[in-house]
Amino acid sequence: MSEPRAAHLVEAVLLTSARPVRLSTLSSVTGLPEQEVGSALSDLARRYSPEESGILLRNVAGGYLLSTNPACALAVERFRDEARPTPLSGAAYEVLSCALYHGPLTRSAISAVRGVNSDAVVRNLIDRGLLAEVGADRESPGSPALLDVTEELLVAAGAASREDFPPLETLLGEEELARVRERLHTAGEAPETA
Amino acid sequence: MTLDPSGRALSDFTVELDVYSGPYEWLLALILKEELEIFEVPLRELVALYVQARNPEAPNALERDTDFAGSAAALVLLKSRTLSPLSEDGEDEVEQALSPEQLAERLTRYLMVRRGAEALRERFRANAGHHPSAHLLPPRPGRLRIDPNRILEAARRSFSRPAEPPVRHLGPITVTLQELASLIRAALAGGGPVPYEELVRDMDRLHSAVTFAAALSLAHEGHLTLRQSEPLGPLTLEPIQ
Repeated sequence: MSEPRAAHLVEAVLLTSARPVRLSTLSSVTGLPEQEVGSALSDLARRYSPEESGILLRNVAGGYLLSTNPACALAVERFRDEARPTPLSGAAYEVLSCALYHGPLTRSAISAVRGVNSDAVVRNLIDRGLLAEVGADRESPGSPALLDVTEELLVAAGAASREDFPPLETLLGEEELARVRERLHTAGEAPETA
Repeated sequence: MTLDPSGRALSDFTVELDVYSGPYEWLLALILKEELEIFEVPLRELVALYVQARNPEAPNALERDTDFAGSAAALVLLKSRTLSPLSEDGEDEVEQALSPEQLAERLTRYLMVRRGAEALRERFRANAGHHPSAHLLPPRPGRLRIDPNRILEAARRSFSRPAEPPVRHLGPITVTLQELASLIRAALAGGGPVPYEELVRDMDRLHSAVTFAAALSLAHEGHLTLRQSEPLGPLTLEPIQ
């Protein structure tokens, strides 16, 4: 039997992994230099493109992952006989957005940004593996736990890293900001009622 | 969604929501048993479903409307309590008035997070159809990386005591569970069953409640049996021989 090609080795390792595999790990387990693994990944990306295959090579959460093509999702879900998880609520996405852009942060910091108690939402997101306690805020009384988003969140959002998300400052237009300030200014000037 | 005009009010009202699909009464039960988070239930959608299914010509329309309004109001109250920020030290705090600039800054921060949430929802939706390999590798012994700081943190949480809750708002203790457990034991000493109503006939609400708790405690310990032939029917305490 001839020696397997670099792309074959990388492909075989990725096939057996349910989680993203880092470039350094691929290099270590295949015994190939990172540069060679990189070119093997480029080969695989061409072969596993949405137009060519039912399997896709994705660069998510700092690693590489083989996943099914979303176009085949219905058949896969029928075969696995499992429903997709319940969709997240608007509150849950807000908590994730807090942790993504301002994390790691405490539960009370999340509640302060949202203006409402978010403990129940946080509990639900920890159960779903999208948020995790990553340490403690030793500066605050009682050293409350610090929360941050997990690798699962990056995979679910199809993001290679946090840098894949648009910067927070770009999410709100100047026009909208001006409208908010104008409304607050008008409310501040309204005469007090008895 | 269906709303059958016959039968017990709301018993046939079923709802179809993202988080739950089934009888409305079961939805209430799941929320009360904390098996479904109230914050996940879109109340506005729930009311819209009821209004859509409502039949004003039904003979018990008023009873249904009243029941629904009552339960929906309770859900609104429960949800607002769940979402209200908790006071850190248990005392009522009057939040300091914010200047328009501070308010604008806070609102801007929240709006940015909200826009981020909307973008995140869209990314989740776009990536929902990807399924990774089902082959899960077991972790290899000896290759697990354990962060000593996290172990320390877990130990600290396990062995630390939670802060004592403030009890200044409570009045002096006028009745104890032990006293009323003794009263129940004395009543059952004759060997026959004793109606709960008879036990608490001359008691105020507090004593009645503590008597009930004492009876539950004694039943749990195996000293007596509580019998109730039908829901909300008379309760009887029977000694276990």
